[in-house]
Order: sequence, then C-alpha cells, then structure tokens
Amino acid sequence: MLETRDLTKVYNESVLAVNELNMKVEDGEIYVVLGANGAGKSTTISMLLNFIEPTSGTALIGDIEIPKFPLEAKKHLAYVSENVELYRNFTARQNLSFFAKLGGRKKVSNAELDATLGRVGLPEEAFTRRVKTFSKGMRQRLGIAIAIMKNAQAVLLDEPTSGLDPKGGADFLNLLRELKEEGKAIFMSTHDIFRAKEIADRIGILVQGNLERELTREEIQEEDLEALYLHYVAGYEPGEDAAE
Amino acid sequence: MERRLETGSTLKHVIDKITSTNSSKTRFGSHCEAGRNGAQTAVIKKTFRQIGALIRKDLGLQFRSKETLVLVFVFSVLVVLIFAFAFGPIFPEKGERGKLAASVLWTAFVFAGIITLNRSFTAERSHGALHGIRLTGVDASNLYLSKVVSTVIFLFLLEIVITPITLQFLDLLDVVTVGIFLKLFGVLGIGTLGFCAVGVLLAGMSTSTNGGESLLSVILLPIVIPIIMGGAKCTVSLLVTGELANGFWLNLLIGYSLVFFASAYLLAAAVIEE
Repeated sequence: MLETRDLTKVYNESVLAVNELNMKVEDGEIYVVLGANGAGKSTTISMLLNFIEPTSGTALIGDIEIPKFPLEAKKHLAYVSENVELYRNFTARQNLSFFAKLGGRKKVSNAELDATLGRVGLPEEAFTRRVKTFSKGMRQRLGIAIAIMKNAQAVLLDEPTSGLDPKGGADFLNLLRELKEEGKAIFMSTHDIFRAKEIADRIGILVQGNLERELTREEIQEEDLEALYLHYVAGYEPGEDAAE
Repeated sequence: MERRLETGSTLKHVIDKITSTNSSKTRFGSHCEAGRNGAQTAVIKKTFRQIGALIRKDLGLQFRSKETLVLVFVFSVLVVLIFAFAFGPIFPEKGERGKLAASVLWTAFVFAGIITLNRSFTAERSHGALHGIRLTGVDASNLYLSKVVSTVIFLFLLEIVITPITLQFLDLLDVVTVGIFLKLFGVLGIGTLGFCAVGVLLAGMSTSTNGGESLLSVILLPIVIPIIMGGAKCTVSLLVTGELANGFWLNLLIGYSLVFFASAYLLAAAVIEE
C-alpha cells in the first residue's frame, strides 16, 4: 500500500507545488492522477520515490516512512518514466541483468531474463539488440520488465503512455492490468483522460498542488470525465464549449 | 540452623538463577551478536556486488560505445605528436628529454582525464538511468566509489598504452628499464586516483548544469594543481635519474590524492543526491 499524509512541497520557499496531499493506493489497485502541466504530478512522484524531500508531511510504502528510511523504502518501489532510456549501448538483456544485480540478485540466468522480456511483449530478436535501436513502446516495455524483475510492491509511472501509438498504449495498459492482478499498488500520472478512464480504479484530479476531487470506479464510469477534468483544470462549466 | 540452611539454600537458588539468567543472557547476546555480524556481512557483500556491477557497467559501456575511448586515445596521441614534432627530430640530451616527456605525459593525461570525466555521468544523467540506479537502493557514496574506480581503470589503461608511445617518440624508450616503468606507472596511478577522486565529484555536479563541460575544467584544474605538480616532478625525477630522488613531491602526490579521495567520498552522497 502506498500512502501520503499531508504531503507538501514548496520550492524556494515560495512556489507551492504540492499542498497537503492525502491519498492512498491499495495493493492491487490502479490510482491515476490527472492534472495539467505544473499541477504537481511529477513532484508527487519524485517525493514518493524520495528523489526530492517533502517540505512537510510524509509518504509511506507499507509501514515504511519513505523520507525517513529511503534505502529500505526504495527496495519496494519501481518507477517507469515518460521516456525510459536506460543504457542505450546495452542490450535489453544487459540492462535488465544490470538492474537486477544492482537490486541485490546474485545470479540471473538468461532464461529468467528472456522470460521476463518475453512477458512484457518484447520480440525475441530484441533481447540482444541495443536499446538505442528500440522504439518508445519497446523502451517502456523494458521499463516494466525491470519493475517486474524487481518484484516491487508499488509501481509508479510518470506519463508512461505519452507518445505511444494506440496499439502501443493499449498493450501497455494490459501490462499494468497484469501487475494489478499480481497485487501491485500502481500509481500513474497522466494527461490522457481516456486512458485513465479505461484503466483506473480511482482517479485523483490535481490542480495547482491540491487534490481537488477523487473519483471511484463507479463515478469514473458514470460521470463525464472530460467535462469534469476541464471544469477543475481549466475552470469550464458543464455545457460550456471548451473552444470558446 | 534450619533457618540458616534455608537462607543458604535460598541464596544458592538465587545465585543459580542469576548465573543461569546471565548465561542465558550471554547466550542470547551471542546469538544477537552473531545475527548482527551475519547481517553486516550480508550488507558488505551486497555493497561489493553493487560496486562490482557498477564498475563492470561503466567499463562495459566505455569499451562498447568506444566514443570516449577513441576520442581520448586520438587526443593523447595528437598531443605526443605535436610535442615530438615541435622539439624533434634532434632531441636535447637525456635530462632535458626526461623533462619534456614528463610534460607531454601529464598534459595528455590531464586533458584526456577531463574529457573522460565530462562524459562519466552522461549516460546516467541524460538517459534517466540515474533514477533507476537510485531506486535499487545503491548508496550515493558507493555510486561515487564505483565511478572513481572505473575512471581510474580506464585512464590507467590509456596511460599504459600512451606512455611507451611517448617515450618512443622522444627517444627515451631504450633508456627506461622495467623497474623505472613500474615506478612510473605507480606514480601515474596515484596521480590518476587523486585526479579522478576530485574530478568524479565535480563531474557529478557540473554535468547536471548548463555548460557543465567548460565548468568542470575551470573548477577542477586549480584544485588538482598539487597533484599535477607532484606527479610531474616525480615523473621528471624517474625519467632523468631513474629514481624518486626527492621524497617531498611523492609525499605531496600521495598525501593530496588520499586527502582528496577521503573528502570527496564523504561529500559524494550530498552531491549526487542533489
């Protein structure tokens, strides 16, 4: 379970990026946070990963307080960024093996590496190809393979489907569904309300660092998510033409 | 009498109990200690495995991409050739040639080192791999340590190749014995360690800023002057007399290298985390 308690980040003592954020992602749940650029999505993820220190409040993975025990917490966290690049001159297999060993694995067999790469849908010929020759979709799959190999309790994704073609995006969401079935807590930030609607168990709408609204699965299906998003993010009233 | 006996037996019972408690405490304590030792050993082993994996990765990338390798090799050979053409084809006597060779070697290695250091964090910073590494729970100090070791190995291999080429071009190869070569590589190795100890730390900072490449040269060179001075003077001494005649320069080289290495290691966590 991933949780934030009054998580706040203020940059340079003046810019409020995230304001007293309280949210919880249960195991086996996909929580999607929607918000415009600068809403605080990436800052939230950075604090959850302990890449930056919160100004106040805290975040937890299970019972572990992330800011207090960052090294212990990081063992249970995996991250897939908007643009997974890793080591471009290494092959997919070499990248996966490197991160597995760095995570503490003594030996990783090629069979295990290949099984993981196969599971995320990478074609066999790509296992031994350098990552610099991969398409964006393939690199995102490799990012998920690293998360699977790590067997982390929570997976955090920062706009992972941006720039993917429809099929690539759909395949990626299927991978997330598989991770959810395995009981992982998944926290994903995105602009893409259609993909969010498709995959999320809960959605949070973040506006200027404040969690303005949380929607359950039922609410997501019932409500007009696009209108709701525009209402919170751009201040449009229902029925108002966004183009005006 | 009975009471005394009873008291005595009670006392004995208490003593027995205390003794048994103490011994059980000792047993418990020794179990705890053994557990702690086991956990510490496991952590140390894991740390070494992580550092080993990082060093293999760095060297693997260097030799796989060959971009930096080709660049520093060509640059170093070019420096040697320019000096050799400028001062040749008839070189001065051996003593002067020794001084010239020391200048050429240290000029080539310092600038090759700056090129290497400038690129040492490129893969991590520009391709997002640093996030991945940090998420595996690798301590930033260990990441620094691995970068220093891999850069030292890379530059030392370059020095092993470039030094004989320089000595050949400056007509010194036939007067340098195996013993002098070994001492020379010792001096170059210590100098490279000190240079990389500071350089990796500063590269960690400068590569995350705009114009980091020029910034590194500007801030690194003034700091490592004692190492360059010590290294160059020791090299001159070896190439001219065949011995390390003046202990001061060697002590300066070793002292500065170790102090820089220890200080940079302690500062690394703060720098790389930022």
